[in-house]
Amino acid sequence: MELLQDIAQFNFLQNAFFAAILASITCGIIGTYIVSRRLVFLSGGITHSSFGGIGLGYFLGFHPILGAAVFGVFTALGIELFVNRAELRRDSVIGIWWSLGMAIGIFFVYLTPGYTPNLMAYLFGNILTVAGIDLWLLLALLAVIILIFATFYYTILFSAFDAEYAKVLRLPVNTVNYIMIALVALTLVFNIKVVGIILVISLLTIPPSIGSLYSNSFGKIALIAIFTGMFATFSGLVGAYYFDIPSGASIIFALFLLFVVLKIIQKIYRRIS
Amino acid sequence: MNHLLTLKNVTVGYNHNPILRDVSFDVAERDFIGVIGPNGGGKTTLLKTMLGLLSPFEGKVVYAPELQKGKRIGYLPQSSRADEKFPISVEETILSGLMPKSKRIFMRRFSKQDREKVYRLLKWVGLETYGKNAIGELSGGQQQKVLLCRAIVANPELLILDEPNTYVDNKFEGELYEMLRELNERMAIVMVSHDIGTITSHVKSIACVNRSLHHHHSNRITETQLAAYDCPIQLITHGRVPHTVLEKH
Repeated sequence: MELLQDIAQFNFLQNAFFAAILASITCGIIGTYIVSRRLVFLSGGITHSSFGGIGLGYFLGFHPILGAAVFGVFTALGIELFVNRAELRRDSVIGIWWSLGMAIGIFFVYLTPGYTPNLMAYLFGNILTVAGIDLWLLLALLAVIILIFATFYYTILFSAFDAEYAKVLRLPVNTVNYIMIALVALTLVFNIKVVGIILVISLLTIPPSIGSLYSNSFGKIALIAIFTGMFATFSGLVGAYYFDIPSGASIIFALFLLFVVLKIIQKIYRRIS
Repeated sequence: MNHLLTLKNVTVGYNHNPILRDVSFDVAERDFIGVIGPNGGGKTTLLKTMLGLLSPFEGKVVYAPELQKGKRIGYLPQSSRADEKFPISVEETILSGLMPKSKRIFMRRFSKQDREKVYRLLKWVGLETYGKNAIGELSGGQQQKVLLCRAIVANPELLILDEPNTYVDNKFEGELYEMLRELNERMAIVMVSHDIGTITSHVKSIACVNRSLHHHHSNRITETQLAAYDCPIQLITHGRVPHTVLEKH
């Protein structure tokens, strides 16, 4: 196996595989939350508007992902605040932040003199450019996600399912929502390097959709999502290596193919039995 | 009789627009109060105030010590509000009703006794085999039964129901009133209903809500009384054929 030798030899390939594992776990858990609460459009808005932070990072010379994290979290909380306070329609507010963030990003990238390295990696993702700091950020995020879910699992689940009833139970519904939305933003942003701003939403929606084919339990869906996510990111990575295609796209193709095949198998199985 | 909950001169509404003005109302032990009134008259606002979801602009809501800030109030929301695709089981849905009693939002798991309580209730409503199903797989009437179980699993002193008979079939409605009669032996019930004819034969007293509130301490009410309470609703009775009782005209 030429690939295995290369992995042993090249640091960037090892990073890529670690990134695939961490991305699958973080996206599996947070993705199940997003899909359950139907927050896919909100997530799209957060990811795209975080491009503003990437542009600012290039312009001012700090790590673009850190800029994106700040932009992402502020957008996420800003959308929640706007909807609650300004009484605007949720999807309109998301649309506004979505495009404003992109515009800010484009503006600063344009202002940045000279060549902007890796810009394409942020837009379309390149798991082979994932560096040590990206892995540490993902690892820290994973620790926070596990800690929060281990302590607040039922509070999160019940607040998401029926917020009004959770309020009657005096659960801290609003606090939990803000914390979860911030976690969603960080998960989206820290996974940008893996598949890119434009494609990251698929990493959060396809694996939980596969999980939903087999289970009605939040925990089991998340678990299935994590393993299908790993399988698809590994296959995508191998595909990118052998066919020399962009890794972001090949990972999405692998995820989509897996989803379609499993869905068809389920349909046939149901018809037979 | 002990008062469980008292509203004293409460003015309440949304975004500084009062819906209910100067409302005084109390619920005593073993009460079974039917809340009626026209749409937009403030029935749901009244329930939300009682549940502590809305804070009054003026006046106050006093809870009996055993109710402690609404923690021992069971609540059945209007039907068909749950997200059908949400990944939560029937068992978990009912367990959520036990969250406040534990007072531990950090709690990771429920005890064996908690689960036994859930299955005893599921048996009571005839859904004991559905514990592991997703709530979305159940029919509307079955979902209402599950949500009723969630409302009473913590043995509340007071049960509040918001139009439990909307969108469900007649068979379920009959079963529901039977269950409520049984529950009323243990807890006070406040129920909003649009169906005044049916409600009057089951409740002990009637509260008419239309921007203000009049508590009529009997389940017999006439059009004249409704008019006096400024509560313009048609009295419909369910004989063999549902019909409106018309005053002389």
